[in-house]
Amino acid sequence: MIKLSDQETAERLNRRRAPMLFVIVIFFLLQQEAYFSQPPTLTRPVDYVRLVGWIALATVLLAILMRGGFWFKSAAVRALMEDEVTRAHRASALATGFVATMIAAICLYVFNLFEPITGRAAIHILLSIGLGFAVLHFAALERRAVKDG
Amino acid sequence: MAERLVNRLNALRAERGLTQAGLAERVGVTRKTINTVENTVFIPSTLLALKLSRALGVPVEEIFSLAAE
Repeated sequence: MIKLSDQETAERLNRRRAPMLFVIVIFFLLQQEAYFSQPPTLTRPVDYVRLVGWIALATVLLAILMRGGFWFKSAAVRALMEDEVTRAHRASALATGFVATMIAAICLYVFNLFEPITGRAAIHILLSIGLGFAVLHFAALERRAVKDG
Repeated sequence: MAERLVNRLNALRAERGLTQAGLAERVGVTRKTINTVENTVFIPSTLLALKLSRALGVPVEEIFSLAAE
């Protein structure tokens, strides 16, 4: 087997990260449909499983966004992947996530004047929108960066 | 008057027969970084600019300059 240099490994993983993030975040956002079409009542064990699954996926997405993922790779490879372009992309993505969350919070506040929303549902929406937008923006920036120029 | 940063990284790299990956290896970054700098998608830090200058053997001003818009 050919041994790849750290640069080559980081390059391959960089190319893999953006599509992988797109798939995970789309799966994450699709879960919202299931959540709101059948809101968990917490009277059945399956509701707890759904909630724990959603929280686990949100935590993984947040960890990938903040730390880059690929935790089982060597420190040298992860340091290469965590270069200044990636850090700039993350900063931009976090700003997008923040603005999206604020807009969603304002909309929820207004919506709540007419239709009561539970605290859990509000948190669910805000977390999904904030994290979803941030990860999508990060993935889009990373995808553009690894394209051959 | 607005100013923007332009660079000759692509030309200087080509003159030396280096690929993006080759230059990235010399500088100690990934090809992604070189690609984004060449395409002016990303403005590098002073540290990276100095590393690029050293790797190409030219002053920083020869790689980066300001252009009036």
